[in-house]
Amino acid sequence: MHLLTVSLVLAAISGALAHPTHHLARREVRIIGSVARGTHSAPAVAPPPSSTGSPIGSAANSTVGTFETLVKGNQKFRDEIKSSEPELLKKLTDEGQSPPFMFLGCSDSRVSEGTIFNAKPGTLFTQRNIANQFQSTDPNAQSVLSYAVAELGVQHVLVVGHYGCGGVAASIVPPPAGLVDAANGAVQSWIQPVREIFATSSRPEIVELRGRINSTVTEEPEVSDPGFRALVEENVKASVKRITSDSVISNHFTTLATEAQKTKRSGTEKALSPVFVHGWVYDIENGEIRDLGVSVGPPGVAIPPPPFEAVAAAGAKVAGGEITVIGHSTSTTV
Amino acid sequence: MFFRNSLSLFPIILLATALTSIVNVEGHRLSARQNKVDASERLLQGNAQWAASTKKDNTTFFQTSAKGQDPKVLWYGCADSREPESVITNSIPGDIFVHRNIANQVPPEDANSVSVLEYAIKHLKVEHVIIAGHTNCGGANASLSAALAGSSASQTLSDEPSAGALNKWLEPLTEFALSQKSQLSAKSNSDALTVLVEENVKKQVENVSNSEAIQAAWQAETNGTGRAVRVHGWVYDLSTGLIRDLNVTRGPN
Repeated sequence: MHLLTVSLVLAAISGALAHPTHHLARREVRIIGSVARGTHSAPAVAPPPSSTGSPIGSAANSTVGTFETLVKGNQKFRDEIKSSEPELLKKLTDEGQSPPFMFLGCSDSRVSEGTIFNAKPGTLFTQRNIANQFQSTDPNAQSVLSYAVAELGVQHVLVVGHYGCGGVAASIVPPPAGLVDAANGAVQSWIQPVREIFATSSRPEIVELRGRINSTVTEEPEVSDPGFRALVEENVKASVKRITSDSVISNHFTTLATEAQKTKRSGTEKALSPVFVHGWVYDIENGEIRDLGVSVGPPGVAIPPPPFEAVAAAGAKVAGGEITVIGHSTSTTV
Repeated sequence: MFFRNSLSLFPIILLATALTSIVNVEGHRLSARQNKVDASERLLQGNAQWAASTKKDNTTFFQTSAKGQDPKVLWYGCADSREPESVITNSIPGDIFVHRNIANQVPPEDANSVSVLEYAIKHLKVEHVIIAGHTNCGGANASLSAALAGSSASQTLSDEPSAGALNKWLEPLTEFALSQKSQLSAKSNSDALTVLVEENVKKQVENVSNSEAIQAAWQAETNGTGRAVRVHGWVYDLSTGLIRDLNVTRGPN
């Protein structure tokens, strides 16, 4: 009896001592940069600046509203990250980046990938261009893919289009009449591949839209137009296809297969991890991501099931009023 | 009596401690398991949370946003995952029109980055173009190493084909580094990298300023028929999170 009491007391004491003093911080889900739009001050006309410029935020430099917002925003970012994740920036600097994702998105200001995914620095290696296009003849996008896959070892390449895309909309209306306007040359040339998809797609909604567009149409379609939405999706799928056909990916898949054979023979650790390419669409009307179900992976490797069910459940939970605590601080590993 | 019995108590103490430790280790194991939750799942959960709480905090945000974009700023940044512009400026979707590529370049013949400039200046009518480089830039580092080693500009990375995308893309930066070689080789490696990062930003400010889109905008500004447009050079410090203006802002002469 005496022994039991003592051991219970000792258990209690050791329990108290062993119990970690930290607690799971109850993090509120917060929107980064949640200044309501209305509070951005209207830009003032800028006085001519000196050729050497001036410090950020100084009145002599620029429209006060814009720069003040960015300077204050940067200050807020630094303050917040110092309190929530004081080691993160230094760690990323000293150890380098190892992002799980490459992100190919649109330049559109509404598709800020860091914000819409609530993603910390170090998560998404990013190229953004007009209508989120990948072409193997474009060394700009291709070098980003090459570095992402071959050097950084990203696990997923995300091609993310969005409804209401201005680049896709411009591909639907006829190009400006007459000589190619110097004012529009670069954009028109860049969206030509999207024009081709619009002209040739057999998808019913796009066929229907083609029927409605004649040479006199100048107004861009509505966000809700089914043909417009379908073209946004087909444009994403086209880039997914081009990426998977690109030598960066085919070389990667070949190396994986060769190493797998080596691993089988020698039984050593595999150095390379498989890369998967996905096609998603961001819905600007509600901030949600939709999977187009066109994911591609290396031959013989199962594509991880899209986690959209888990996401839907999480979304439902949030919509129902309970904000789930998700640990921001843990680093991701797949 | 207590001490005489302490040895026999020892295994019990050990057991008691072990039991409570297991409970706590299990607690830790649970969070370690969360760490191993698929990265994609975490990303999408982040999106679901953000979308739901944005709607909750500002019920008209998405409705207004869907009508169109009206950003005042075009940001040319590096593809580097550590320089997410919306996060480091705490801005909201709708604020910044963005192009990101390796080493934040705007080469005059590059259809990709130039089409972004044209769209931003002529269609969206942005008022500021910001070239935002950053410390510890991998692209700049590759060009620096190649230049200091005396490589040819077309072969920045020796283990990549010269006709490959990375070497093609880095060629102008390596060429630029070669032109600054004497200045760069006089410094320590880390100082030289900082200098190249800054000089590259200034070079891209010049590229943007010389573009057709900007020249036309400044012409209109001077004539009084167009708005003010400025081009700026910034450097983001990865380790401190601080953005620094290089004070090279350009406007119409």
